[in-house]
Amino acid sequence: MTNKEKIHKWMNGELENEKSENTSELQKISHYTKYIQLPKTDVNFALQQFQNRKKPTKTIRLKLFYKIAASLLLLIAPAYYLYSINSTVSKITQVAQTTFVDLPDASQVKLSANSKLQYCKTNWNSKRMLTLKGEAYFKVKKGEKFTVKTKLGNVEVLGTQFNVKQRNAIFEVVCYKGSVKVTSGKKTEVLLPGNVFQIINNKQTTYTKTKDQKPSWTQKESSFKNTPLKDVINELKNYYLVNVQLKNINNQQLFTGAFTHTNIDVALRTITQSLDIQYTKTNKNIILFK
Amino acid sequence: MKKIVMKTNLCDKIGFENFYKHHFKSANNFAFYKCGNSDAALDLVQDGFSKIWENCSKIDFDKAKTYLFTSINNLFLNTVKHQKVVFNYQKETPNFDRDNQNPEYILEEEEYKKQLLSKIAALPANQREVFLLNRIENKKYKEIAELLDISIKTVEKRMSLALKALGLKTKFTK
Repeated sequence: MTNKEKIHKWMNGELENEKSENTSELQKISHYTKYIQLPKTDVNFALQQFQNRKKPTKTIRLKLFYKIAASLLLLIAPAYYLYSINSTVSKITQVAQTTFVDLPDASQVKLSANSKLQYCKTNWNSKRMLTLKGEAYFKVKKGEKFTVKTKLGNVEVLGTQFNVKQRNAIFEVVCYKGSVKVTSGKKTEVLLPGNVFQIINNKQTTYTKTKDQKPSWTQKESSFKNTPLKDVINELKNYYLVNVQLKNINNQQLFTGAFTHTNIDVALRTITQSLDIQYTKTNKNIILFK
Repeated sequence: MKKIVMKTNLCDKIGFENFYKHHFKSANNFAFYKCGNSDAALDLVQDGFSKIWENCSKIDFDKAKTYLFTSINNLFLNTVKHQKVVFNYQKETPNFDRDNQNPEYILEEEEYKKQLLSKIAALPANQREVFLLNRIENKKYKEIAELLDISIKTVEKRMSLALKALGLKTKFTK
């Protein structure tokens, strides 16, 4: 047996009676070690203390739960935010540009020039809602309520074809098929095919138009009825990239008629002739005068 | 009787109290061997029992004691690692050779005791716990190994290192 083995055997209480130089040294160490002052904590006192603090540990666990919940929220919130941002679709058209937008449920939108359409892809089928700035023609598949929001009013339908126009102070809804509910401020009106709901400068009118199949702008033409010249010019600027100046001309005079989107000269002639005014055109600058 | 106590349910209030009373002293001493401070030891023990109480349904009763000691061990490593360790003797500590009243011997022994205490205090906690569990509580290597969830070889190794550090002159020849 090596010294090492002997020592471990002795420590393990297997060589109690062995006497040697080693064991006397070990015995001395052991003797004094046994007299080390140990804690005198009373077990009942300790148990009492333990039971008193059992409640706080539970609140700590609750706090931990909130910590976890809060950190999860911190993780999820930006992700959800990014997700919802990503699921918002924006379509923007420039001057003289029109585009088709296919909505998730196969409803179609034709977006007119200089317009912006926004909608949320997620939950589209249960909440069909779009935001429109400008003009667009909608062909809506039957389904849940379909809402078009604009600055000047909302349009609600179930399944139909209609045109919405909101530019500056103009808000115009034309129904082509089915029926359309228009809400603007406190005013609510239900439109049937051929009906036009119009607000120009806070003045609301509803009238019946000759039954067009589609809005004129989709046929590359803008048509107007009793519309101030100012708004006609603004509309012109949506389809042609031009500057228009008026000299000694009342921009509130009313225009009824249409202009084409394909030729600026033809368009200018139709507007000026019916109002009995003149125009000059140099490059992109147009001046209207008496 | 001991067996009946051991078999009680940990989630049951009475069962837990029995478990607590049964293991408090050894757990408290164990924590004390590690940190050399009775207040810190009590904190460790209470935290260790808290862990058992919180996880009472998940802990196998036969392993609860090991779980308790392991918890105390881990809690010690997390918290009071850097605390200064101080040991004292009981007021009545007879000298090794009671019959020797030679003043020179008594002085020598006083010096020896002081040095031994500071050497024990200076031991790494894992060597000290093995050494004191064995010397103060008369635990066999096998029991210590089970309690600490380590191998007997590891216990031997730590004991050898501890004895060497305490100044056992005998060389550990192979």
